[in-house]
Amino acid sequence: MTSPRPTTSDWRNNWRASIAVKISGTIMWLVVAVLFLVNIAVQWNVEQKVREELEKSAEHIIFEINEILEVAEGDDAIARTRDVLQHLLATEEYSRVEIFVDERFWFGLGSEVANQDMLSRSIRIIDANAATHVLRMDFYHPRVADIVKSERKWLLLVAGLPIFVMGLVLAGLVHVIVARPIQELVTATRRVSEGELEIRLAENRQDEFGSLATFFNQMLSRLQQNQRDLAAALDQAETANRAKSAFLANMSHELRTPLNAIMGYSEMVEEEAQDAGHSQYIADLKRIRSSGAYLLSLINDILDLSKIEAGKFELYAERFKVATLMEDVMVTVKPLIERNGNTGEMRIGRGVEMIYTDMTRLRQILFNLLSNAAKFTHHGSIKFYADRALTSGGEPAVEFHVEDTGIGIAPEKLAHLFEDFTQADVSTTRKYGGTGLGLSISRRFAQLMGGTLIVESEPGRGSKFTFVLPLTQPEVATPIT
Amino acid sequence: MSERAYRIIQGIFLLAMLSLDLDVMVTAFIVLTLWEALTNLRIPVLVTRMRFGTQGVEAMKPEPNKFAFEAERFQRIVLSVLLFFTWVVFPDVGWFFPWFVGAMLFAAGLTNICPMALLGRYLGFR
Repeated sequence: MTSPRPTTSDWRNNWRASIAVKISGTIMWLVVAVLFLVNIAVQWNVEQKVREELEKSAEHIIFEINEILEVAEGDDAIARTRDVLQHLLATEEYSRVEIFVDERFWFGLGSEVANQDMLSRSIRIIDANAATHVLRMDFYHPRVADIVKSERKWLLLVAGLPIFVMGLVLAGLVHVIVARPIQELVTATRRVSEGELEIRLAENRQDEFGSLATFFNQMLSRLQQNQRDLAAALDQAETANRAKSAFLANMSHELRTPLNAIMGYSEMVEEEAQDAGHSQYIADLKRIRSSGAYLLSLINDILDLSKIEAGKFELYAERFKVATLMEDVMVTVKPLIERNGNTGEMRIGRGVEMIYTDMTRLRQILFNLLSNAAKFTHHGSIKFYADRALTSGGEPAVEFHVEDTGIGIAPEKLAHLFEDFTQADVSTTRKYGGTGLGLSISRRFAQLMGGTLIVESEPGRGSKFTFVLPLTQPEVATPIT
Repeated sequence: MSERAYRIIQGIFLLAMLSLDLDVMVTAFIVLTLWEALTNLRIPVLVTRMRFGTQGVEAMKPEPNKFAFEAERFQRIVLSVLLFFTWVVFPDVGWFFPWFVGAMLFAAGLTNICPMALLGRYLGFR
């Protein structure tokens, strides 16, 4: 079961797992990168600008002092000069200014000058007495590098901090707008995968997430309805299956018992009639017995089919000689063959020896094929032979063939030949009798035993049934189709 | 302590020292980072060992990759070398870089995604 919020302190898993973190991370890196790029661009020539500012203010002050000295002298000049320099020291980067007239110190204002740079400017002045002098001013200021460093720091903090905070806010907004609905969807999907189909998403958004929630809820409703329908169908199927099993259990005994009684008593009465010399009743009694036998075989076929379809049919495998079984079947079916003026022929190929399978079902299949051949052939020949072969999977097998020169089967009827209650033609039932279950049951038995049963036929020329059976009964029966 | 928490602390520390013009502390930060890279005695691992013993440290061990060298060590080597050149050797040209590193460390700690460590992982470090 995955966690609803797959974030861990392992950054590799986090990068792979959370969209919110990816989006937040991308926004923050972009913000930081853009912030620094802008700062670098803005502060590219800051040192030059600082020097220019210092020189500009120095020039301005020296001319201002020049103007003072042109009109004032003595204490008045000093007082006015002091005012100007005090203003300068308060507003500019300078820490001390010294004024020299003709290289003699005249006035100074400011604090210590250790570890400071100095900027010097000189001009010629004409004082109030029209005398010419050389005025030199030395401006002491902190090192340009320190000024630049301080400027940069404050610009970064003042501009950078709000931008950084905005980036955080933006990342948070994206998280709320995008990541949270996705997380809700992930949580809901996970719970649905664990079987909680009642869960529904809130449909309170008007955007794509709102549409996603609406369709997600509709999908779940449909899924629940399908589940309810399937459960009802399963219930019905199980009820039908139980009814079928009950039928198999009850009817098998209920149907066979009276029929066996009818056949037994009719045989008994036939013998007594024969002994008593009432031969006129013999034919009728024989008819009763044969009808009962026919009805019994029909019931057996239907019950076998029901058992196979219910999956309750079990095979009993045993080892026996193929030749013995074939001879036994041929003897049984010989009267049927000769009844229609047919000739029967049997051949056992070389290498066909022992087989391990259900002898009863194999006898049933072969008897069905041979009795069909005998029924649908008149004054023809019926060949019954077996050869060694291989199954489609390459296993050793026996191939049984029942070939006749009978009426044959039309190609369009071949496809339906092995279906339940289906004969080659509707008129077949009228003319030849039968229920249409024999071949269906034979094929199902063949599949259960791991074999295949196929037919080749040509109308008017006859049919050939080929039944391939592995020499060893498989552990798991082939699914019946 | 997770690497994530340590990155947040690193970022805040570096930005604070730069703001207060405490150059010595910034230099100390560079030296510490280089020492972590060379010895692999990383602060988060040491703190975890103190708190949870070797069991905690085992839980922090990364998966093996192309190289046995860890991506976190790679990140610290690159960081300390770049900071050294921009803070000590070429401060006039690279003045912005320590600030940039501080901000990125803080962002990496917040988001738990470190591009340098991702690059190291991509190159094949553990």
